[in-house]
Amino acid sequence: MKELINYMLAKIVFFTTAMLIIPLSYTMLEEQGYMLDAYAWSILIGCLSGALLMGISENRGKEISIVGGAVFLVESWLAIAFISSLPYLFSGVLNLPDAIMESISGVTTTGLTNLPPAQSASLILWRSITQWIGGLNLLLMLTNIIPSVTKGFGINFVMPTILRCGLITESRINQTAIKVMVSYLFFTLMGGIFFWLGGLSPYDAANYVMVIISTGGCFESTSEFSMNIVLFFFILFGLIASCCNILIYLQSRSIYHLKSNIINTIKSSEIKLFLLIILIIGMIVSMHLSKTGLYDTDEAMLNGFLYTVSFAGTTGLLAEKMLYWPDFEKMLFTFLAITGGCLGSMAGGFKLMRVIVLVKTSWAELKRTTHPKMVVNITVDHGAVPQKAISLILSYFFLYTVILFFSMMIISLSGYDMLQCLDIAIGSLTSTGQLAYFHMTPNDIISLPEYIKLYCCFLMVLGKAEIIAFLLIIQGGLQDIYRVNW
Amino acid sequence: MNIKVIYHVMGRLIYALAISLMVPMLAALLWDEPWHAFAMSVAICFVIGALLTKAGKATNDKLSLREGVAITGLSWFVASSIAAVPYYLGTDMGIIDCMFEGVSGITGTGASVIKDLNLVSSSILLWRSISHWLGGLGIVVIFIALFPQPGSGTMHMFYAETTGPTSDRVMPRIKSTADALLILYIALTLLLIAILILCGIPIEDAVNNGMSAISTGGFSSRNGSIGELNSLSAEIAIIIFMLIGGGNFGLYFMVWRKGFSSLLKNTEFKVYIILAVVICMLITINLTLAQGYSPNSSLRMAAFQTASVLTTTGFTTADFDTWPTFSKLCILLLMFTGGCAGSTSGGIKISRFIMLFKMIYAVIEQKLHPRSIIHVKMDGREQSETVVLRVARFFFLYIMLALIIGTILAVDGVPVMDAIGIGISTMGNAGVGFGIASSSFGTLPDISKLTCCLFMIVGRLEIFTLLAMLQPQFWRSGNW
Repeated sequence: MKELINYMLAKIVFFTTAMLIIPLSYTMLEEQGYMLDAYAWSILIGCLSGALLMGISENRGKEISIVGGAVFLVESWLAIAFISSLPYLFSGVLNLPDAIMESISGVTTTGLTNLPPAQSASLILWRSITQWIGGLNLLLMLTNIIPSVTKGFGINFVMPTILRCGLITESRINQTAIKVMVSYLFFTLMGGIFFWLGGLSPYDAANYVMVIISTGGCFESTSEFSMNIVLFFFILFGLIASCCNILIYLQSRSIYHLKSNIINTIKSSEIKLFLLIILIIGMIVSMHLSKTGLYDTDEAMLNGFLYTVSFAGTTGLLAEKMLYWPDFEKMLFTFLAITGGCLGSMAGGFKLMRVIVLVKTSWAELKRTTHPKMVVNITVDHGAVPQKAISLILSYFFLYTVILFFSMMIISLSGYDMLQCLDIAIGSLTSTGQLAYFHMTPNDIISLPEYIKLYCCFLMVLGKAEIIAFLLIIQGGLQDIYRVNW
Repeated sequence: MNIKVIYHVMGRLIYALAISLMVPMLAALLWDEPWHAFAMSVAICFVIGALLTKAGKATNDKLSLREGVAITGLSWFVASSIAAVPYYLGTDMGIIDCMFEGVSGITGTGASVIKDLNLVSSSILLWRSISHWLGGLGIVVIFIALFPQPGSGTMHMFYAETTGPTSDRVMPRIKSTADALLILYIALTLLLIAILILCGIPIEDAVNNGMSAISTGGFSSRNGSIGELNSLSAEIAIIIFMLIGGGNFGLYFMVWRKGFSSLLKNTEFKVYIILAVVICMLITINLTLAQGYSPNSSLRMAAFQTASVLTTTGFTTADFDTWPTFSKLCILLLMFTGGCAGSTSGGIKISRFIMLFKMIYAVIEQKLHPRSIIHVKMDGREQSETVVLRVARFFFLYIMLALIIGTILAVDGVPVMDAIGIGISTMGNAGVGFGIASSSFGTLPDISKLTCCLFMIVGRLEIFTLLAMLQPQFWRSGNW
């Protein structure tokens, strides 16, 4: 089993290394090879690491156990982060802890950056690429590993049957990987073309589409562009990233089947609720922004909806004046980031489907107060929610809250106030790192103590691995130590 | 639903409250203070009580579950409203402030809107403490003990008010259980008052703070709360009795009957004490290192504040709003956890947290061993899935309601983090806050105060009882 994990990690490492060719080419073409050494060394080390992993993966099996899946889930993020951090290190821009944070933040699509301002354009491009790779890895994990390891933490009941159970096998991963990559690449190219047609430069269009489609959100353009049409495309692709249930679309056998799957997901209560939330909060934010005088009415409307979509999808693009936005808007965006996007999408957070189940099950429990013998049954989209799923979702909510609170306590040791600690903790756990900039400047983030940065990295991976993977590794590891079989 | 039975029981409850109002009235007469406010309050109670009793009808039949829940839920609204009357008639506070003070007193929250207690008469201060004391053990428990109800339906009233995930009773009969709890409550209160007097605290302060401490309320007789008493021995005594108040009264009864081994075998009590010690140590270290206090004074402040907030009393000996963020978050954590089930404290309760952690452990074990059957156990007793899921749903609703309060307050103009802190404090009946609410809740806007009033009662009745009453079908007639 360990050999198969090593083999898959080797593939991931090779893929990430291959992506380094893009910034390398960019620096040669546009920066007179200014960063050539950094990328060349990174590629060399990437190739060696991949070869090493490949070398210790002979005689591999065909399947991975649940704990093995959890280990792979965590290691895959760490492997991509390792390769991603090399250009930051070799360029001398960041020290080791900062490079680790930058890369983990990128690959987990958190978008919390500690790169000093005015960096090489190729390095910024690499940062956007790491977010894009992170998005792709998330999709691969969502379609292959997470359903088996965590059972979707209670949301398996709405997943396609094929994903609900089954072994994690090499052939299954290979089959799905191609479909996932094609779909992801298609949306990325489409977005890039739209942004370019909207008036962005090719460089800005490439960066923006990668950070929006992956929900990373960490890119700020220095150039001027025609606002309205570009913002409209930002909203559109932000919605696609946070609403599309890729898990269902990937099961489509034909175009007709895909069409019916899309219609079914549009009719689902989760997407309806998501769009309703965006509509209501977008309106509230727009009106409030207009009232505060920060923007005129049109700008307030576009900004209101753009950033509502952005935080609901945990992308977290930042407005230029966001530090001066009222706290009320920031609080709404924080709530949006916690609830997150739709099931099977790129968005992080708690996921709306879980919120729906929690609200329905709690309402049913209220009825049980006066009917103690009542059996609490709830349905979502005309399907009964299994008791096991309810139990898992309730457990997940408790875990999420506890981890959030303890993370705040740890971050508070850095001396920041409660609101700043809350922003950093939620931002790291929900992959919406830009929340940290609500009450802090980029310099405050850069000057965070190194142990806090490393803890934030842990939180980012924890959020992406849906927490239970870590607990499984710990518990499984402990039982292994005590010689109990997995 | 038999509305007439509800009228009848509510009428009797109001009579009982009228009797309790006579205590500060007599004190006012004795201390030569204005007593008319109390006399009028008593008169109003008797009139309303008489009207309700006349409109209602006693029954020997068993109360239904809905009637029991309705009586308990309404009792807290009625008691809170009556508690506010003496403030309205005897002080120059506005009606919303009076309501806030009344609800805060009865629910044992201890959040006060009175800015200067020196301007308030001693009899009013006594009434504040009495309202704490009545609400601490539970007005329904005291009512059942002192005014036995015909029929066997008091069980539903009792359970609707019980705090904690399960409803255990220490005696076979509800009336006997209520009697036992009341006797223990009175004994502990008298003991603390006596100890405080021996510590050199003036009798008036000893009585007020004694009642507040054992009921884990938090209204003090001094502006500077317990810190103003400036007595280490009194602080230690109050810490011990606050911790006793935050423990399970049913467990104390078992200790009396079966010995100390019952206490040591109880998981919840052990975790409760360990949590208090660990948080106290963490705050002590943090205050010493970050604020430069001496270890002794850090320990003194940390121990008192930990006990005060863990038991959701809300007394203070230091301004913890100026403490480092880590210590403030420790305080916030304690507001969440609260004391033990079956105690006078608020919060989520330690036993619920234990169950939730065991639930997580069960989920992981189930993943590792898919064919195993794993049950959540407390003190060796297996907990049904229904109980465990109810606890988890309670946790979700609790957090959501705290955030809803925070949002309402933020919309009303309260700074976001202060609003969230007040939300958590209100749901847990802690009565302390950060920022705008650190010294007094009087600075809150009116809508915020009314929101807090509603949710203090929701928190005291542990959500389900009151929210169940908000369902339209609850009030429809017909058998369920």
